[in-house]
Amino acid sequence: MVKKIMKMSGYGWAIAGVPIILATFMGMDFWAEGLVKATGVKVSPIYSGGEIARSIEHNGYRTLVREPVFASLVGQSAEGFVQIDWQKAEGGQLPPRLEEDLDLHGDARADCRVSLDTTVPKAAVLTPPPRFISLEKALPIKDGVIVRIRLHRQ
Amino acid sequence: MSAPTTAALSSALAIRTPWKLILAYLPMLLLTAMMMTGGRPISPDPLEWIPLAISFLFFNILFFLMLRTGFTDRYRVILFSTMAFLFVIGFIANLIEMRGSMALSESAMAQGETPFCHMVIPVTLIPAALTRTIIFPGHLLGGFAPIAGMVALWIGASLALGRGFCSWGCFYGGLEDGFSRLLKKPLIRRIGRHWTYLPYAILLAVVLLSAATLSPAYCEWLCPFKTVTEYNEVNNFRTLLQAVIMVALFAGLVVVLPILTRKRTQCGLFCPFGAFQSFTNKVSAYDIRIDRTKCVDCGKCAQVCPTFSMDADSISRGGTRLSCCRCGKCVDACPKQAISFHIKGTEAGASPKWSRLLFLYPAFLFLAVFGGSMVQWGLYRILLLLSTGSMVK
Repeated sequence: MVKKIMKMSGYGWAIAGVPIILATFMGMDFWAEGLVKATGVKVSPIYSGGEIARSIEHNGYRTLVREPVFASLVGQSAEGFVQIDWQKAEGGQLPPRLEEDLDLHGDARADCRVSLDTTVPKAAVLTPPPRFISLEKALPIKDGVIVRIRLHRQ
Repeated sequence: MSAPTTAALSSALAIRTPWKLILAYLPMLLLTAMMMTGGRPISPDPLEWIPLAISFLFFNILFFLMLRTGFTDRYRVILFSTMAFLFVIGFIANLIEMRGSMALSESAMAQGETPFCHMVIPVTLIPAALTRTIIFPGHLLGGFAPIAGMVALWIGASLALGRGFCSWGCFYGGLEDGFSRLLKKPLIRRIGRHWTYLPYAILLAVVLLSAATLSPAYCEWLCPFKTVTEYNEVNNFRTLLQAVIMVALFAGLVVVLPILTRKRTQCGLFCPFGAFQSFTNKVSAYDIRIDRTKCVDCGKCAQVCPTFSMDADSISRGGTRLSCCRCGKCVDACPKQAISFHIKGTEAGASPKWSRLLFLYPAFLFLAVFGGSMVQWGLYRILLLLSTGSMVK
């Protein structure tokens, strides 16, 4: 009896192979979305730059200040970064050079001043924010420039 | 009794009766037609319909030969290697069209433009479980090779095929499988069994290192296939060192050693994804079994197994080691027809033709749909080159 059940389940699972493959390809987007929803995973902020905390509109471009990232496997790391994006608005342009006061910590007060040459791109921190370590990088992206500033958590 | 060899025209698993052959073949013909066209009308653009037609015919003719002759690996390797080489052509052309270069810049990473591949999956699991984030500079949904899409594909393939994915779906494995067939006889024959545990050690190391650094350590430092796909832009000593390592690993493990040993040395002695994928063999319904009543312990299967998955121990137990990729090479090579594809829960050697067919259908379908798209992709680029003088638009 047990042998028969094993045999039937074996054949059943083997026959399911084709429907599994068909369902995998035909419903790939559905499964992918389901997987993301069910697990709630996101791309690591180390790569994505973190959630957008504030958006400041300018003439022809916008500044996005992201949440500071202190990524760690468990808890938070002692050092991290905050990313700022300067993005062209639709039909707009980034100015070749800009200087901007930024509120990195979300207390409604500017705590940092950054200058940016958007053509190279090259950035400088004119007034360092609290817990400042260094300017990590300035990178060109399709519709603008991103800058990362390294910070201590405490 | 004369022993059939791999050079024989057909094996005992051949389907010789015409109506049985048609019955076995027709469903695959219809399934591949449906899946390869996506159920849409065929484009009148020759750059689209010619690759589709060639790919459809190529896959279906070889599937017909698999059924008619009873040989599996003999035809699988042609499809598998073609898929891999055309994948490389298509992928590189696509990168150059998208980004102007094979080099992956920090900017591209910051914008999540890195295509995700199955090799990264094992190193993302611990960080995903603990931080609910994927440590990869790609995008989760939409676009080219999104993370969640590739994971869904991998789950489906693993449920159905187990590590058969490595012989019927991995677009990298076909490269070394192809190189391993270049010489008729191996120049290096003896490789110590202890080397076959190396992939598990590498798996453990890259999983722990990736979790500790929250970065895909395997992609950054050890992936040989970056040589023929995309590599980190070389702009400092660290990226130079990474480039040197990946080129050396590619040349050694994917080209030179497979030629000299006639084995898939990257898959069998190095690949951490392959080691991880071995565990999915426990889930799959299929395995390879040896009928001990027929086996004469000639060792031919262990000699030809490309992934070191058969040895005296496993043969005496009537099966393979955990790392078996279900390529079917041992089944083709056995002079006594003692080895067969097997459905778990059934007796060894029971209905070998049925068991083979039940495995071949999902495995081949996966290869035809997944690999077929890559073959079309590569052919499209070649046709574009022939018609316009450039592989990119």
